[in-house]
Amino acid sequence: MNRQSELYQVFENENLILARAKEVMAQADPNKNADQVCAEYGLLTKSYAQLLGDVKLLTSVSDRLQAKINKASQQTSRKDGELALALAQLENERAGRRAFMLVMGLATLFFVISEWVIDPQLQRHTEILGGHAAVALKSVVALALYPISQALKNNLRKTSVKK
Amino acid sequence: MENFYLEETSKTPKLSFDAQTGKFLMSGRSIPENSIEFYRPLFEWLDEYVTSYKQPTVFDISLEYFNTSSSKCLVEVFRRLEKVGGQQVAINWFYEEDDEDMQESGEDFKEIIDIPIKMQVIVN
Repeated sequence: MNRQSELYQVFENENLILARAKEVMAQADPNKNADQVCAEYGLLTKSYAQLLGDVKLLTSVSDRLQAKINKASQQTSRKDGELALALAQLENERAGRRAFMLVMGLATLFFVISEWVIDPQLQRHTEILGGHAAVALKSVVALALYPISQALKNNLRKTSVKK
Repeated sequence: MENFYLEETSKTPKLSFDAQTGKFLMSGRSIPENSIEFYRPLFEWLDEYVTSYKQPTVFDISLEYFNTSSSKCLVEVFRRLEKVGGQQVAINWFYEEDDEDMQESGEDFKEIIDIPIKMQVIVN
């Protein structure tokens, strides 16, 4: 059943009343059936009053339903915003953790290389400054760890956003 | 005359109409795809009920939500019950304490129906 047919059926009584009124009007003759027409007019007036009441109710119900839909829509939009924010924060955390792990790995690698290769070389070639040079080099690397970590985190975040 | 009973679904209400005791119940949600198709069997049952039984009838309505076409069908149900006559029919309109929409809907029906409708609040 299409939408029009369904609406017709919902207002079946009203359609019957209208059809009857039209029929009466088609047969109306003031000289012959004035009383009948008058009686029918009375019935039609009563039906109209009833229909008016129904329309007021339907309008009221419809307005309330619309307000409910609007409220639900606003809530959905707000939740969408909160979800997007939570996802961004989660992505940020994830990128931060990955960057930290990478930097820790690099630091460990540097430490190992430093102990096996760099420190002995520095000791051999700079007898006066060897120890200080090693400490200075390691200090520079240690200080660089944080900016490297932040740069990696930003890069990882940008990469995940592009995906 | 057999009783009229339909189980509740996600879109249609529970309908329990006992012809012998005159106890009627409608509860749940009423948002059927085609309201008239859903309610027509009830209309036909009520048409038979009002001609066969002239007894006190109590109709409890506890709906959480209904669409516009369902409200028209509810009016049709009430109009049929008006034919039972006199003060034989009473309607209890139940609504949750914080559900202003259902409360106002009940008040709207009170305006147009010639049957006493008693507003019954469900305290949470």
